[in-house]
Amino acid sequence: MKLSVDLPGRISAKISVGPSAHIVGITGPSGAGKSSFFRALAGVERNADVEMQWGRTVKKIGMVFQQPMLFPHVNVQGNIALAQRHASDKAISVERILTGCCCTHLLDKDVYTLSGGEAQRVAIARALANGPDVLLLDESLSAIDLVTRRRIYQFLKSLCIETGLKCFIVSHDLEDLALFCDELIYISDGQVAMQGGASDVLNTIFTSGTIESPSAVLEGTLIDHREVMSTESLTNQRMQTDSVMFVDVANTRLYVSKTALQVDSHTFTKQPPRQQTVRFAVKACDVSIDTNTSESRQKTTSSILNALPCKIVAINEFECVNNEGRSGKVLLTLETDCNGTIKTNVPSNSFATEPNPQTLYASVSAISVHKLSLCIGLSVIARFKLL
Amino acid sequence: MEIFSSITPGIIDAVWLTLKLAFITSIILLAIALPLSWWLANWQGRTKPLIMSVFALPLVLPPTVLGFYLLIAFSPESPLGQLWYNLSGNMLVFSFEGLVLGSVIYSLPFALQPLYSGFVQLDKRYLEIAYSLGFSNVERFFKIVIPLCKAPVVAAFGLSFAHTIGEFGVVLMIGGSIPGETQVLSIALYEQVEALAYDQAHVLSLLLLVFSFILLAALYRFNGIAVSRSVNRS
Repeated sequence: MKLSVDLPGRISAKISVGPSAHIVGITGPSGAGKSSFFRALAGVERNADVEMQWGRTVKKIGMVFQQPMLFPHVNVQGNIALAQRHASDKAISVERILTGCCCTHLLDKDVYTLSGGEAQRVAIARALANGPDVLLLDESLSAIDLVTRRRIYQFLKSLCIETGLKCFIVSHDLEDLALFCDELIYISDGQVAMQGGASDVLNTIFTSGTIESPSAVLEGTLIDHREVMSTESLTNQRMQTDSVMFVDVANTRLYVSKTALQVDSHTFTKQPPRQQTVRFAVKACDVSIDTNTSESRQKTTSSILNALPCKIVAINEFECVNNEGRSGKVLLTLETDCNGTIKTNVPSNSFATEPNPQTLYASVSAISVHKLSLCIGLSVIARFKLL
Repeated sequence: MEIFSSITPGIIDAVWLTLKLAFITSIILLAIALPLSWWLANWQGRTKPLIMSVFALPLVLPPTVLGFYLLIAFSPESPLGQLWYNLSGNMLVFSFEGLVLGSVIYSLPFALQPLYSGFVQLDKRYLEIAYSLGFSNVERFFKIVIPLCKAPVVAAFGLSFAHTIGEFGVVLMIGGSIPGETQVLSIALYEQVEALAYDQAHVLSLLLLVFSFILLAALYRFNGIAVSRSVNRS
């Protein structure tokens, strides 16, 4: 699909999005023109010159602002009912929308009694109840708590896959965008500065040094709980907890909090099925580097159990990211190394024997780089907590 | 009991005529002021200050000045008076219909101002959301704008009603004092005072005082609830 928006003095943007992209993220500094872009697409900017080639029939473009703008003269149910007056045939059942947006229990509430996050959830539900072909979310999840927010993103993604809905999401949360967007657009000074696959665009943004603590998204497969219990002799009842999931990433077993996992094509609330592909975000500031890659490190003496063999592929020293002069921080770009020294007992039926390398970031001090003699091409162990 | 004995059929006629005039005037004013104020609130032409001034003139003009011009305009020799005579066979001056028309012009700013303020202050994003949900312009006005501007609409109706009940100068100029036809409460009161019938003048004054107080108290009460709700929302 190709979209072109020209709004004099505010934005002049041409974007091209692949047909397989379900969720397209839009980010950039405040005042860059992201909201104007959305308002023009939604048809509420009279002076905008807009050309839209969606590549399919698009009759309805739904829009949700950061301020939920719920109609205050009716309650939550009334807001949903107003959206249903002109709902398209594509609209899915309200019950499912309310469940997906975590607002079933809010149905009888008056709008002015809702919290900011609750109101945002209802606003998204209202837009979905109208059955849009394209949904524009302008920082519409910013007041929602992390767990609920990611549930809603997950719901939106499954809805996109199921119904063909296209979502455009403006957000400053790059971790959310990394986890859920297929493509990403970076707008700056009313122009499209970058566009393309989410991971590529994010990599360019992160290595430019404008973001203090970037996040990487790792993808892996779930490992059966029982198998891990037996191989690691975890017989103690306290250790057999459902809150920690075991994930194979690049032939390495990682211990990931269930709440941090995003499961493709399944709702978050369901128990992720075995062998399911999952994704999770790792913040650069949570990653530490260990240059000791010997076999003995498998018997770890550290409480940080996640140890992922990687190779350093880039070293970016940030300049003056704060008012105190040089930050002294260095961003390492790492790639998972399947030939690393730490091997795990990956189930034999796993298909991840030759996985593609995945990118990970580590934020370390310049002193560490010097003391550990970190350089491009060096094999290291990336350690991080995911609880 | 003495007070009740002072309520003559003439007073009852005046009360009924006043309420009828106020009610019909307020309804007509709402029908005119709603679209007019919506248009003014959304129009940014260069001549807007001039147009606004014309509509606000009755606020500052002495009622007798307005009444004098209306008397001229309604006279059988004027085009308007002539047209009315041809249509209805009656004169516009010294008739109830003439009073209604005069009251509508005289009280227009009292309906226009609260509605205009309400519409200007309405967050237009509500309308943009309604547009994205597929609402037509007419639907947006009646399903979103009017319910969200309930307080200004009630204020416009209440102020028009109260102002029409209290009007004197314009009514006297264009309606005279024909009992049962154009003699409203304020005129009847004036006549009683002229005739030194103070008992009846007391009754009429008390009626106007109590009614005006109750109407304003109800308006303030309604607006107070509306404001506290909007504060809760924000």
